[in-house]
Amino acid sequence: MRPSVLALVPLLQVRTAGAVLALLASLPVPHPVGAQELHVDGTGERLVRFVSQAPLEDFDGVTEAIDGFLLLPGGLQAGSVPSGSRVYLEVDLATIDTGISLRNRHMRDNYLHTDRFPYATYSAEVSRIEEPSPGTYVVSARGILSIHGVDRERTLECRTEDAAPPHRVRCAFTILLSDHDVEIPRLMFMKVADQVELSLEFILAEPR
Amino acid sequence: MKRHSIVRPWASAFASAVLAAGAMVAQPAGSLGAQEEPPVQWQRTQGPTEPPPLVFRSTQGINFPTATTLAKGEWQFEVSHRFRPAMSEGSDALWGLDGPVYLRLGLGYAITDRFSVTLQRSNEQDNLDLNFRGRLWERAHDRFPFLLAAQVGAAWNGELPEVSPEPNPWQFYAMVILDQGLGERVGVGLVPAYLRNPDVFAESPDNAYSLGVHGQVYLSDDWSLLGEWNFSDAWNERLHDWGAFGVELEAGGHFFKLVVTNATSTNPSQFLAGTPFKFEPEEWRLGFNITRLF
Repeated sequence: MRPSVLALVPLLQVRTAGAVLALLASLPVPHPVGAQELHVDGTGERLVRFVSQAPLEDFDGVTEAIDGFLLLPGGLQAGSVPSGSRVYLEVDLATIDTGISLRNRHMRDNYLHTDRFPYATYSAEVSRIEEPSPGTYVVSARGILSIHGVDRERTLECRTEDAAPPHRVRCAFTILLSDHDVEIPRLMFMKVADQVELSLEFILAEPR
Repeated sequence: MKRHSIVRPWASAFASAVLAAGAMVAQPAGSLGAQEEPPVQWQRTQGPTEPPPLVFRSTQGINFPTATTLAKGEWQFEVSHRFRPAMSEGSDALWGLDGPVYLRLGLGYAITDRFSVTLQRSNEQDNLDLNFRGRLWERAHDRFPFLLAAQVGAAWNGELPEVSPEPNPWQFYAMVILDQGLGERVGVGLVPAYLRNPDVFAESPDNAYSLGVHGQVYLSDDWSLLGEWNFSDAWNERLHDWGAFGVELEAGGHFFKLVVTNATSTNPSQFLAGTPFKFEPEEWRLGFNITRLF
């Protein structure tokens, strides 16, 4: 038996209500007035570079595959940092290019195990914003650096010389491979150094 | 019946709303596993990069090419030796290492991630070989990846004896390369091939067809065992099929292969036509290949 038209009314109401709920839930979460959420510009210049020292020669790896955001409820202003100021960055490790495809594969498969741990991430609270010279801002954050599935608490500093978005951001720091249970790679039977220097460059811009 | 027809849409609509809201709150970043999820507008736009599928780690086995290609802009230098005296000559000939040897030098360059060009020279009849290789198709799979490639080449033999009739120094060939992974540590390859002018001393050029089989077992991240066999017709003094087996070490941008074989030829237009020696221990020779990527 076919249901009558009237019998369909409650059904349509229910579906409409569900659709409205789903629509509301899918809307972006509004930030407080004055809050600023900036995203890594996926079309702008990006460069993540690591340098590892080896007995015969240093070798480095680069990738552009960095993404993430900076959330500053109070905007980029030196001084006290409102709670909820956060930064999140991630690097797609399978894209690292060391200049030799064979070494790339070794990095992916033998050391970083990117099939299980595809991203290196940094998720942190912004703890301080300083303006050491006019127009130059240094943002400090304290949070979790996760590489190879091993989390380590780290404080990192990044610098920008742009007072308003888009901000060109530069960060530099070092990590110990052993801190993240990454086996020390070998080059021709000789191990590279445990310490790796990392530098990040990217642009933070308004979401598109 | 009516009750069911209403309750189900309720449940469906409510569940979809809850799931959508939950997805918004719990997974805005679309991150993996236990990695922290920031409750912001930002969302990951694409998943992690999947590396290209791979069956064999090196671009070549012992003699046969594999479907593995260099990365764009990459160079590969190769030096290979096949010691001509048999190992059975014993310590007097240092098991063949006293030489003489057939030596091949090669230089390859990747025009793209899929296509490469290689120039290589063997001192056996000064065989100069120019070939192009392309990875045509692949199927990514965790345990059973498959790659299809092809290689075409031309060879010119610069040092042939002056005999009558005059030898034809030009040879041409084409190979189809089918590589199949069997689990994470085993790969097999088939290389059906066509060779024009397998016997440079023939009165007129012939057409030769052969089938190569290649297998490799990866024992660790660095070491593997590999073997090859070539089925072909007999051409002039190349009366026999050849086989080869050996060990491969992968280290610091290099592949080192130490092999035992009844084939002393190293360039495709020569080894595709077979070998003068039987595949018997008395006829086995030592050899090695070294490739370096840069």
